Amino acid sequence: MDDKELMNTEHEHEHEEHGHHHDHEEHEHHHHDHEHEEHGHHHDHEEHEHHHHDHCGCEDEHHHHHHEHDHEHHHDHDHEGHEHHHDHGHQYEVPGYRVFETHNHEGATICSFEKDVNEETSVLVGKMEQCIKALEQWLDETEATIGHVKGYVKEAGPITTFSTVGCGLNIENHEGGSAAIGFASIVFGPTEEELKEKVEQIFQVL
Amino acid sequence: MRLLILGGFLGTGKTSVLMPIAREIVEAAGGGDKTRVAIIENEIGQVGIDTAFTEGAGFTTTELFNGCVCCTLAASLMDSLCQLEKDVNPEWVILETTGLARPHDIAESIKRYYDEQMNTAVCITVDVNRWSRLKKVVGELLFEQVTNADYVFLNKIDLADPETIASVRKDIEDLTKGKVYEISAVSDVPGTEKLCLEIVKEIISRD
Repeated sequence: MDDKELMNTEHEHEHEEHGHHHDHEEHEHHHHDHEHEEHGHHHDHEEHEHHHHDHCGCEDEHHHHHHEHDHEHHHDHDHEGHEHHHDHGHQYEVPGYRVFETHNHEGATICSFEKDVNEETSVLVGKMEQCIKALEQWLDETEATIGHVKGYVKEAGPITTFSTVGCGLNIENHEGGSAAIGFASIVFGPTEEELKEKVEQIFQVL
Repeated sequence: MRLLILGGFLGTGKTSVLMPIAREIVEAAGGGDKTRVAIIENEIGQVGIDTAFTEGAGFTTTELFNGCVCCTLAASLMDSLCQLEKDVNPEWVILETTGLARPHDIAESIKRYYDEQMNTAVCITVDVNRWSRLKKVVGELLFEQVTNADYVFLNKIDLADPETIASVRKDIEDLTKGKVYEISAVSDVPGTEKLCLEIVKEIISRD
């Protein structure tokens, strides 16, 4: 699936041809009542129509935009008393990563990733520790405020598989494969681009 | 179904507080049956980190990632609650929000959605060591998180001096009418589990 196809499936709203030149300034809201039949709850539905006209400011060609609003379910929520500031997310195709994304929310810049690594857990834990310390140091040097930087290393143990096609059960033992790494940083100060670039640079040792 | 909304800014110890509360709920009900509690984990990043803890503890865990249930994922929260009610029908749901959430907004939405029929409480964790620094950066969010809380946990007191704890307590008590407790969820400071049980019993008494 190419960029354009992916975006067409992810968004139910208008896009320019290349999809990543827009913002979310214009929202049209249509309200109508709806009864939740199964549970008998009464609530309002909100539909958001998004029109994207302007450049979002990002120069990276290798990412997709992901909109945070839920377009499939429309229950009531309010925004009374304050404004929520959230931005559409950017999903990047970074080699070796299952997920690599950035977005903004409430003034914070968020970057999270997930990847599989073929390395001994003890080595991986050590590298992860060094990477997070390096990011912490960079954030300190740039006078950013750390909301939370967190991650995990999940070891993959051996797997036993069972298989039959009707003439005997085949049982196979497999060595533990790659370990899974998850990481999320929620910080105040850097832009999405700056944080993405630094995280990618620091964690390339994994 | 009762709902305990566990909020508080990033890194204040929400996940560390969640587990003793979940254990005390099970304990208060006679022990053993973990299906009485379901957990909804909301994380702001697309990759969830905290579910690595909760899933291993034997509680039904629903994940809501890449957004915040007080705004962008509000609809998904209602769907998750309906689904849990249908599939598991737990006595309690503990919702761990993102650190950027405004739990009072969530509680208000829930009250409207369930026509005030769901017993809903808001518990907020505060990191006493970072409070003064963070209130200069994200004060408006911090104050709103605390203001309408039913319970506030001043967490990580084992890492703070008495003056700091007293100063933060004064700030918090000026902001909220909720009950304020001093705890350390991950150290040997005694009393956290007892406080959790106290809160659980008090919420039950609201039924």
